[in-house]
Amino acid sequence: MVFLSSLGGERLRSRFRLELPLHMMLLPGVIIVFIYHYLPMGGIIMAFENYVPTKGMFGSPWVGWDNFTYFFSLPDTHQVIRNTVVIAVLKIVFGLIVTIGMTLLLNEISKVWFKRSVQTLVYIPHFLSWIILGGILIDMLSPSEGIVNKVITGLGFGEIFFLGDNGWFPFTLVVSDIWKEFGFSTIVYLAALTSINPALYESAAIDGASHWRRMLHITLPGMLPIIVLMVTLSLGSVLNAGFEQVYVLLSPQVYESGDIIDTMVYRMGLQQMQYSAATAIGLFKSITSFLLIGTSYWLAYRFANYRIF
Amino acid sequence: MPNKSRRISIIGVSLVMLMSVIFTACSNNKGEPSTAPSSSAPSSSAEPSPSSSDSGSAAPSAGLPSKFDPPIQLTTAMANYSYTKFSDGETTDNNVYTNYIKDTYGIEVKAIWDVPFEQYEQKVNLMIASGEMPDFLAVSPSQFKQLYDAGSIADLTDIYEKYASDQTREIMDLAGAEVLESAKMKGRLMSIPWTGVAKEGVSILWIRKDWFEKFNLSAPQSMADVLKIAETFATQDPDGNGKPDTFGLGLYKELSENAMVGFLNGFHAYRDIWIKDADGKLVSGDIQPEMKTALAELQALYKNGWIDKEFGVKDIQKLEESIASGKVGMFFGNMGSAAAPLQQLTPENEWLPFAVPSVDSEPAKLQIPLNIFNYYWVVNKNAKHPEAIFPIIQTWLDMFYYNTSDELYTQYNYDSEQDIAHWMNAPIKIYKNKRAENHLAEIEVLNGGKDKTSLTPEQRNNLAGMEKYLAGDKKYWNVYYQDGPESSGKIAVEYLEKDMYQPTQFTGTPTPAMLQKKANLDKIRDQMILKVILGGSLDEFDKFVEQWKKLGGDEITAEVNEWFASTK
Amino acid sequence: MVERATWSRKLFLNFNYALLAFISFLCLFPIVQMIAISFSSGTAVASGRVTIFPVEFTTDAYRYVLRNKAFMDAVWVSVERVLLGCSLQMLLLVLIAYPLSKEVSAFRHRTLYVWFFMITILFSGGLVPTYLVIKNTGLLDSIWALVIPGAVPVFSVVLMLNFFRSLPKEMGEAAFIDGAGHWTTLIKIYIPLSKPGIATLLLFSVVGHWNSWFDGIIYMNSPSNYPLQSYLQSIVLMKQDSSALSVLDQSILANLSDRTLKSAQIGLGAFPILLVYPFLQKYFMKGIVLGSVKE
Repeated sequence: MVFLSSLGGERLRSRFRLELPLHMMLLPGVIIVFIYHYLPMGGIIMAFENYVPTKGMFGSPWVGWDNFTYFFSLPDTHQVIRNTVVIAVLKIVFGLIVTIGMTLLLNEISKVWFKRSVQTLVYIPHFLSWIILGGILIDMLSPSEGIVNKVITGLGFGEIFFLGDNGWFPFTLVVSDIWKEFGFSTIVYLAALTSINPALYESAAIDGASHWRRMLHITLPGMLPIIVLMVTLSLGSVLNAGFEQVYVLLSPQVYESGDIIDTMVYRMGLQQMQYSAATAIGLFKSITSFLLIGTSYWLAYRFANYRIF
Repeated sequence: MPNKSRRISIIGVSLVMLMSVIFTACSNNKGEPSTAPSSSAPSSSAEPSPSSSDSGSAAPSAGLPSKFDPPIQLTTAMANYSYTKFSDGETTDNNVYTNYIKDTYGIEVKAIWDVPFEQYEQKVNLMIASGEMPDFLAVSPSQFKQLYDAGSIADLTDIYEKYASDQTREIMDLAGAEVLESAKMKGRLMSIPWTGVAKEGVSILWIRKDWFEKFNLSAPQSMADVLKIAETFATQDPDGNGKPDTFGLGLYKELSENAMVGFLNGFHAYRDIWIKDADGKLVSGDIQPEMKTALAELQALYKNGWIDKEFGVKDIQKLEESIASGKVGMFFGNMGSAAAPLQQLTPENEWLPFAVPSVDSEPAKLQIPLNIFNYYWVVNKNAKHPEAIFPIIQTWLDMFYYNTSDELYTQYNYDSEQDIAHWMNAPIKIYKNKRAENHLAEIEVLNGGKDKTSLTPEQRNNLAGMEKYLAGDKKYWNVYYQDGPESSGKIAVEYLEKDMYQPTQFTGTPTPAMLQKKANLDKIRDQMILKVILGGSLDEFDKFVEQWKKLGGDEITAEVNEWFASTK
Repeated sequence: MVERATWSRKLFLNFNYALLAFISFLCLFPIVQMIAISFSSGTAVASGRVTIFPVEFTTDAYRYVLRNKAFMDAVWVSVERVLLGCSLQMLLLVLIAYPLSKEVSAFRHRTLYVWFFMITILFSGGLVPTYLVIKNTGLLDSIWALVIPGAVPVFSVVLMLNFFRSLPKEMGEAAFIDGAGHWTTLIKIYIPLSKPGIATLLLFSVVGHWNSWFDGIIYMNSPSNYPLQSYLQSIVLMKQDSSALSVLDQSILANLSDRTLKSAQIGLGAFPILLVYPFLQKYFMKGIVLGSVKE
């Protein structure tokens, strides 16, 4: 027994020696993250108090769950949460489809100059702020003069008030967001493609597999880990429908379908800096994200024995 | 009454002050108080002769503390517009203002930080949270209340009595008694309000001159005339291109702006302010029946296609595009709309200003919020020399409002050659109305009653513009219609004389129920407004009123009246 | 390897080229309009007459901007920030992603560490406490306030560890048997093999640092220390509180909010970052990993 256990100790020690460099590599990052992210998390207690700057984080009166019950008791909270989830989920789903589709299409291009130019051009809108794009969208989507409606009426349909109609507004948000971001999102997938071994394509070609089958059986599976990862991470933003965009395009006319949590918090903030309510709502969003990401991580591990990250 | 005679002589210094006097009803000074001021007033190398004061002696103006020797140091925090405000080598702590204040009064002002206005309140909160506070700074009304509750700010009651200059007091009076009142807590003056110009920020109806003349219109006497003009502009093809592509009235999605509020006020409807009802109780303007009437008219305009069907999603930039492209010929703007944006949008087309007419025989009243420029100036309780803020205020007044020298203007206000806005460096600013004063002073000179040297450089500049306009250089129309004989400046005088204002009756800090519920009440109000204009049933308004009361409106009203009772 | 393209393949390829060209055009439109606006006269812009060609061509806006000291200063702060911030991020990125890319069998605590980092992108203490920590660690009003708190790009770490995982395992193991330690393996094998991944994440890092504006405004005490995007933000978002200002001040502000000028500044601000991509692009091309892995 003594012999065995000392052997175990020996193994542990050698294992520790083996893993020590790994710990050392992590150390600087752990320290920075601890100081600048974990220490401030103490501020989450503001969600449970009525924070007043002059009284400080630890001197403000404790109110328990009041900030949460306040948020959920507001008459429009349910509608706002529903709007947020609908817009965010549509953005995630269609954004993913468009981005992957774009990656696959680009992958089929063999002319290098063309591929490079397309990549560079679709990447541009990411760098323009919504304030700029907002003005352009109002012009393009205008029922009376906008080019989009000219096309629609040219095809014999009635004009659509994209920004003023509650039925169309979420759709407009989703499409314009994808337009702005898909080029930039494509980059990650293109990088993932580089790790696919070309030998696989070559042998498939020799076996006579069509381009379509090669895409289906080599390209897509090669991208799969990154796709799974990106989907999982995007679950974290189910309650983030994109403040800046919605703020720029929103008007009272479309509050019903377009008011989201963040714009609501913003309007509350205009009354006064309501740190506590904002922290409480932020905490609610964080916990939701955590549960969604944690669950998918656990499910992937449990059923596919795969660690997403 | 030595104080009074001193006051009279100071007032005599400039015509600007003359106007203040008229408005504060000291009519006995109307005559010819004194000679023109020496335009060689203070030079930057600063002999301590700061104010453009009467005797030319080195003594600071009424009541100001004498020069500190050795110099004292005061810290502050700055908020600014993103604009060039330094010449080469200058910094926040070393510029014409800080140097002047140091040389003249022995006060060194150091800013611990400087931030754009948009982030100012946020940054002050962070600073307070980190337990830091400069000697003096501007804070929002709720921060003011918090700092007072925390006992962090100095009581200014006595030092205001002792040290505030007459000009400072004058400006406080002009801003309205409720303004200084709102700076008091339990009867003690705990801050100096950053007075605003609410009375000159109210609506003016602007109409395109060529369209106005084309249809031989006369000045609108009532809202019915306005609606009639809207119809004409929308249906009679004012631009003569044969297409029905013009609108009667310019509107855009921000319902809180003059474009909308001016229209509402014409119907005695008031958005987002508190008014007194027949029983002397405070009620919210949002839920009064006048609102319904005004909205019904807007609904009709919309239905007829006389306002842009897409106004509900368009921002101001889009309205400006419509104005510039000649689709809109009438809108409710402000007293400065001619200078910006109209001059840039339609440099060739002149616009005429009109006072907001009323729907009935009762003159329209223009709603104004509490007349502060968002902030109160507070002094740290631990500051050794709280009275030092008064010379700093005086510096601002001397340089920005009362200076008559061109040289000083370039140096301390705005250097047009190098495009530097020096005035932004003043550590303390308080604002006062000046459109009415400018108008009267300039007109008097224009009519030959006065000499040019009595004017401030800004007024002289305007006068020059008007003279060029009258000599046929039409590109100066904007100055002419803001300051000339038939200008928005003249309307400013009319508004003041007839007291055509509806100030909000609630000037306290937000009540608990407001903090919790007002955001949502505002949302349903704006939703209702849009719904009704866009053709919804007028019952929507009644439904809204009911909902408003239920969802916290009644509670807020009770709190507001409680506050009201406490101020009596 | 020559392949005979089938009829349907040709059709698809033609369609593909056309579609991508069309999509590129859609993405090009806003920037073309912005450039057109920046070269047009203020009046033409205000009346909405500019679409894709400049109207009443002028270069005034650019001359103004390039003369404007504040703008040029801000550019330098941004450059400094990007250089410092990205070096630090990339260093920590590989240092963190490498251990975390190990299986639990090789590094028992990896999952603990992964979640330690993940938590920080899900939960945040908010602005006030973060500000207090930054202040108390003495970073306030220095370039480090923009660099150190965000030095660990967790999102990129997670991507990077996935890139590392997609490398053939045998390589690392082979190196290990040859007596190389973790450090050598990381530097000699993992990093050279992951160039596409690193290039991608470097791009994210550069873009992230270049585009952040809020921290600059909050942590810097004076606008003269603002990075470019903070400076631009303070101009673009500037509200025109016209009611409070005199005729003159109003026209000053109108001048500033001039869309021509804004467009020129935003355009110049985005230009460097648009150049970074084509430069890094060559690393995204296929086959780099292969060269060394081919059995």
